[in-house]
Amino acid sequence: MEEILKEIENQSEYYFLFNQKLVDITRKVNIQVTDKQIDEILAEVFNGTNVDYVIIDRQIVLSMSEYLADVKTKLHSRSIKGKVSDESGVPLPGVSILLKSTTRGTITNLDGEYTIEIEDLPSAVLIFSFVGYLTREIPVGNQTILNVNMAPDLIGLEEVIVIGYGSLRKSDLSGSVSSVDIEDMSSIPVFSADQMLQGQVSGVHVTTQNGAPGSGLIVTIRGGNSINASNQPLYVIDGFPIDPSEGFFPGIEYQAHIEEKNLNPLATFNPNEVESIEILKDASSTAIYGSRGANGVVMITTKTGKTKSSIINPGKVEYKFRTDISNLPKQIEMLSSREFMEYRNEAYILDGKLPPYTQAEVDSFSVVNTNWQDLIYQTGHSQDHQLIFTNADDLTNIALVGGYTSQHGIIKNSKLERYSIRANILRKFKNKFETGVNFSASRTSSRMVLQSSTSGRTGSSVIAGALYFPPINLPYDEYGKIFKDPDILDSPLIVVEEVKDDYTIQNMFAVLFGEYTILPGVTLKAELGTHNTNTLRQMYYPSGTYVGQNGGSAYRADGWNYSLLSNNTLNINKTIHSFHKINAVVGYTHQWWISNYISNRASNFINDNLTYYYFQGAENSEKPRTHTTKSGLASFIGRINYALMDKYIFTITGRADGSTRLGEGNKWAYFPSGAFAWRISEEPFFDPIKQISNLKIRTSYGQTGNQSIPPYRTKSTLVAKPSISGGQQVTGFVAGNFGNPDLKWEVTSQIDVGLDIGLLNNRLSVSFDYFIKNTRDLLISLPIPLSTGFSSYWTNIGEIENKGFDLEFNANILSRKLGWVISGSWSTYKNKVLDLGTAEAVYGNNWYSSAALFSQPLHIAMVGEAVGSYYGYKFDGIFQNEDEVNNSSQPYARPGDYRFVDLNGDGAITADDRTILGNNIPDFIFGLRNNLSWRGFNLYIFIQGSIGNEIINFNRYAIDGLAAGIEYINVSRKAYENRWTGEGTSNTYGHLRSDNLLFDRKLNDILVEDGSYIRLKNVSLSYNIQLKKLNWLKTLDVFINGANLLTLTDYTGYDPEVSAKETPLEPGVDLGVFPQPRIWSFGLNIGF
Amino acid sequence: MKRILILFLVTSFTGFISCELKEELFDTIGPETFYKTERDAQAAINGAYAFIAPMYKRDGIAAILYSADDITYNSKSGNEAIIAEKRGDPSTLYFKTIWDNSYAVINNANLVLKYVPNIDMDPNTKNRILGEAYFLRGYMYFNLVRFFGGVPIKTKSTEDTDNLHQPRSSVEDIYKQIFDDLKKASDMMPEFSEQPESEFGRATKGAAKSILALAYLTHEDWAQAKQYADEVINSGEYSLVTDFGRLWDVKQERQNYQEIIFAVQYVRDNLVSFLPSVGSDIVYRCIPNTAEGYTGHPAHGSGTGVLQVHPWFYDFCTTGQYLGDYRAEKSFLTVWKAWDEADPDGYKRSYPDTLGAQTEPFPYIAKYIDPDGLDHRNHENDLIIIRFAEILLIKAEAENELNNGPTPEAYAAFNQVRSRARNAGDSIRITPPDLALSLSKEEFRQAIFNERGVEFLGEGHRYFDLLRMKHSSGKTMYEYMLNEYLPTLPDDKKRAEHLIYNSRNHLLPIPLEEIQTNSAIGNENQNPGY
Repeated sequence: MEEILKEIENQSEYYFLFNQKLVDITRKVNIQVTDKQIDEILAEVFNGTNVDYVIIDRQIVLSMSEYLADVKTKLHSRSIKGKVSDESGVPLPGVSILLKSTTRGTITNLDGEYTIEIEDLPSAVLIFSFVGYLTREIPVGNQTILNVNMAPDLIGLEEVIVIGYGSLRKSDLSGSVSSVDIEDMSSIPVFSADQMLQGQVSGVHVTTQNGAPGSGLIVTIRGGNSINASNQPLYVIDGFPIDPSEGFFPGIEYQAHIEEKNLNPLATFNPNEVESIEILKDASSTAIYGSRGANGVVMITTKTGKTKSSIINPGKVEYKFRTDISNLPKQIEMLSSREFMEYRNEAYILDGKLPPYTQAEVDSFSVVNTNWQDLIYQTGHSQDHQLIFTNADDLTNIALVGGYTSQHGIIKNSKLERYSIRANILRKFKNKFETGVNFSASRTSSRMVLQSSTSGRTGSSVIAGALYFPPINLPYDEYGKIFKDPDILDSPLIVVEEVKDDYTIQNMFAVLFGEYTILPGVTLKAELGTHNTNTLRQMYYPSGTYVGQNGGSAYRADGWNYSLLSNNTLNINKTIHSFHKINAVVGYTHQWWISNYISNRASNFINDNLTYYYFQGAENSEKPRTHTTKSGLASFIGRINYALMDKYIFTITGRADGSTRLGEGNKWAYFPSGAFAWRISEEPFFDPIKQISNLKIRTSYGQTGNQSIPPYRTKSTLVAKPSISGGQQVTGFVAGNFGNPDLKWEVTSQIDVGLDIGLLNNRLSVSFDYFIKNTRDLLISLPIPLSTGFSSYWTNIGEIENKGFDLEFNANILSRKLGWVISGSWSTYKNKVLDLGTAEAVYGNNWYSSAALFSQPLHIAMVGEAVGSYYGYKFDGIFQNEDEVNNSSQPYARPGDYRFVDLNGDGAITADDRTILGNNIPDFIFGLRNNLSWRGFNLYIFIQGSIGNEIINFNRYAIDGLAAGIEYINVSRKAYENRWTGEGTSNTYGHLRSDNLLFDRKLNDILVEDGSYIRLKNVSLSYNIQLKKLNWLKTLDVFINGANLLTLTDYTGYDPEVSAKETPLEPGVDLGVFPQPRIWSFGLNIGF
Repeated sequence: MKRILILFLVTSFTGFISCELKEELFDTIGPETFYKTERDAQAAINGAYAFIAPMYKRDGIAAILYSADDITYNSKSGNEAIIAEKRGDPSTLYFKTIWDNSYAVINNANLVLKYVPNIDMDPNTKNRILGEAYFLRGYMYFNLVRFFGGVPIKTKSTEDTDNLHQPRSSVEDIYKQIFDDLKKASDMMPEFSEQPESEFGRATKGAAKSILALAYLTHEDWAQAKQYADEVINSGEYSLVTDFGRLWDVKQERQNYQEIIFAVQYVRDNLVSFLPSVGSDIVYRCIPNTAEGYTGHPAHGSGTGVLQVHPWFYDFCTTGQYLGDYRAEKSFLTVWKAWDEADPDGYKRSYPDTLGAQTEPFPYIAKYIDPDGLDHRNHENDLIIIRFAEILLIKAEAENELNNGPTPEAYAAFNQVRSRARNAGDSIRITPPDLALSLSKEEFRQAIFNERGVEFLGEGHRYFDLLRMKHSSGKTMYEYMLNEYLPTLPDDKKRAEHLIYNSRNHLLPIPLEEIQTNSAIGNENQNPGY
């Protein structure tokens, strides 16, 4: 070698420079060359070594190749500059520019300008890509300035949609799938990912269970299919299906009944981690999730390193900050102390009884005049910080998100705090193999104040309690401490200030995946995921409260939920002869869950200092309750999507699911579906019609299932119950569940016909769907005669139908300097029970039973009506005089009493006179979004509404009932002032009565109110500040937002967006539900 | 690359292996695998008892007491007010509690009868346990028939969907079932003295015979009633506690079982507080809210005082033959130590206004007191279902009806109760006197009715006595008292709105839930008037 180098120096004008430690010159090499270029000779000499060279002038530098790479590039590179703009010359910022076959790239700045260093090779090609525009590849040649115009792609059509176990170009879709526009959310106060669904897509009905921090939303897609089994959609986060029970907080049966709580999986999910949300609605899309797809599927994809517009991202750090203040939009006017006592006296005197208060008492007691609403509500405030790092090149893709949110609700001491981190990392190796992990961990803790009590214990419910609690009761004692008397129910003030009900939920989520490309377009993918959810609920009632009167009372429940998932799929994505496009997946997936909880209760503490933290300090402590269940699901999946000439699209999907929860012989079920779509606009005969840029007809049919019932329902079980023998407490074993070994899937068949239209180059796009869903073999917890020793068992009976329309549109009205986009959704559906098998009807639970104020169901499911219809008596005005009484079916009534319609004409008002009084299903719901942009300003207006649904305003049952015999319930000023005082005075509100018969103890249509509303949900104004001068700061957005600013409604309660319970059978009741606050926000987003 | 392929194959393969879909049970067990040993059998029979205490704890006892004419309720709201005002309906929670707990006992007794016979265990213990299951079933049907009339008969445990819907049987068929079950029970169970200590408080032969006697009496089968009463008397297992007052001393509760034949067991529960505890609740309802040191109330040992007695009934128990009756002294609480920070030694008084210091218009019941209760709804006091004094009165009543007038045996049994009543602890009183020996059948029956009223105040017999026993006019005592006698009394002697007669109240309504769910019972099968 040494000789060869010397020979070259001799024969040519070059000489060598090298370090002998790096270049082995003792190696033996044999070469023979004549008339060759120096490059060729050197290549031959160093062939098979890691030695490289650089020729600088007459010197040849030899070194290891890795040390020379940069030098070589610098020596041979040149810089290309240019400007990228759209067809009309408007600069395009954020366009990604990549040197072909390398990892080198950049993006355009705000003025559309870019600079890139490239190797000085004649073959260099730059790739310009930007979402919504056709990607361009441009050879550089000798140019140093390269200005590029980009042509818009047919908007949205090339958008890739995440569907189950894969993704598909939107144009190749044959099913009904909607996407949520996440970008709109950046300047509105969204505390959890579920809030991103409301009003955004058609067919998705989101009911706020209440406005309390941390409480989840009730999401129904295309109407409820089920009566007792869950109607919640399946949530799939990064391919991992989440079981609804994973956010379960056990409750307790107590002096005050504390309800169990099931949070939907998105309620604790940091919305800033979300990249996209897709909603799968029709059977063709959901069948890939088989037994869990019947209620629709919400697919969440978390952030990746790519930016929104480009696959290349040299690294971006964003800091987002938002702060909010919120308040109660309105109060309900109640009587003052003096009026309250006068009202009660009046009632007793009218009934010829001694009034409960003497005049002296009225005078002295009215010194106290407590407005409980003032005492429990406050101005809420919150803050949100997010730090986001993203980075992507050809081989790696990283997204890191760290978030902190703290929220204080409008009820004193209601609060939520969340810490979350996420790391999504993907790495490619040599084009054939890629692997990665999506990892997230979060901790959400919240203090819930008990809002609603269906048992009727008014003191335990703070919102109803603030209405009911008599104004003559003292909030504070003479020392300024909260007044407590364990013999009366807790005042709302005690509940907000002293009672603690704290929830913590910790989520850890990891999905590990590897993907191997066997052949071009054929990949094998394996995913392994785990999801841990640990829940902790801690409660403390200090001594002196009603529940804690025996020296304080503590409760604690620890839940451990674990889920393991294995997905193994083979994906095929091939185009054959340019007109057969095949996208297929087959695979096997297995998921199982273990759920554990333990709950403890202790009472009689030495003092209240250590609250729920120190059970050892209690004199009395109960036996702990423990619970362990395991269930599993094994499935085979398959789907083929075949597009012929981009015009005719066929999809066939199937899944076979086996579940442990169902009876022997019914464990496996098959869920097939098929879909066909025709892109008419691609036909040659359509070419002349220029205005219509896209026209697609879709149709699908398929079956999906539902198995979301508690485990072990196929087995009869025995449970422990305390008994006494020999003067001692002993444990007895008694019949627990009544098992049904024949339990099987609930099956939903769905037909969907859809139409996608794009006009004027897709500046206006409309998507329209009609569907009919039919669910049979409903999983029902069927009440059975109590004389069996049981109250209900799970069985499959009956049939429900949902049918309706979904409509979505998007209009780019202006896209010049002033940009204006309107988009919206509109949906309607009808729900009807077609059959209930042997059951005549299925009733809801008895409301207000323990205080015996009502003790009847409010809801019914019966053939021909919607599930959860309101069931009660037809109100027929007020008896004005004795004659009317005598001619009625209520011979014992008095003038001033409520009159009801004797529907069956049997001369008496009995339970048989009950009828359907309405339901919670709206005629239609809609959402309308307006996006106006001008020079960095962006104005976003979101209007949302629900028309034609009814609400049972059950707060009014107590406060408008005018039954003065109940000494612990105040009445509303409206009812009192409009009471019946003699013939012709009122035909809606009755007379005062000294007994406790609120509304004659009958649910009637006065309490069923129109719940229609149109709400100005969000108005936000943001400004993007141009920062050309600063290198370290790339973007700065500031925004203000107002949420729930205006609501048009006839509903008389706090808020028409309510539901006290989330069970499908018992919707739409407003009983002490936390109202939606009005929120003002300010925030900024900074990009570095 | 090959390594990666292998990794794929391995993960996929392990996926397939784990594809077993058998349901694993960790924290629950089914009937087919549970009943194996004697301990399991004991757990099963204890389970059958377990529904009785909660049934009576609040709801059941309130339903019985407030339905009668002696007890009244001091508030206007709650289930108690509805019942006291005699306007309970099919949705009244407390009636449902009786219904569903009774059937829970029946279903669990049926499970015992089905599974325990196959357990390999000591035959005596097995027999005893099966006897108890028959007893519980028979006793529950006796309660049900008295409350609701004809009800569905279940003699098999509910384990599959066959026969879920059963129509109401006739009252006669129910009684047949009751007699049948209780006779089997009486044959299989040991006497009280032979009962193992660990089973103390559970049913015995004496309990079965006593309930049989009462059931036959209710069924007006006088000869059988007399026979079973005699069998209990002659067994020598039971006798009257010498001092009536001692019967209500919770510290001597165990010894009082010389008289108590069957009672609902309650013990102070240091695991669970309040209503869900296995302690007794009635103390809290009987003791006024101004009292100090009578209940387990953590702050001051007071109650709610919602259970009050109409003044007319107090008068009745303390005048005429009952003037100076020791039982009234021990049964009524009219003076109590007051909870008043300002006056630590003060007392409060209710009706009667003897000292002009009356603070409350209605007297209270003094039978249930337990200052050592762990909290105010968690006391030791058992609720007596049947005691020897009642057996004596059953015998007297049966003799009277059987022989168309009182026999010497009837007088003897009756006067045994009176004689004990005169023993006021350390002194012997002269009232109540023995019964005059010249009473007609009707007069003697009235005397028994009166005597039961005084003897059993607050023990839950009055409502059934009113419905079961006839006034000399031929009407039920219920109709006579509420419709004829009580309306003649002045208003300050009663809470009139609690004494309204309505013929439908001879039976409670079948709960709405049963009618809604049972395809064999419709609204047309509801008890009359509801």
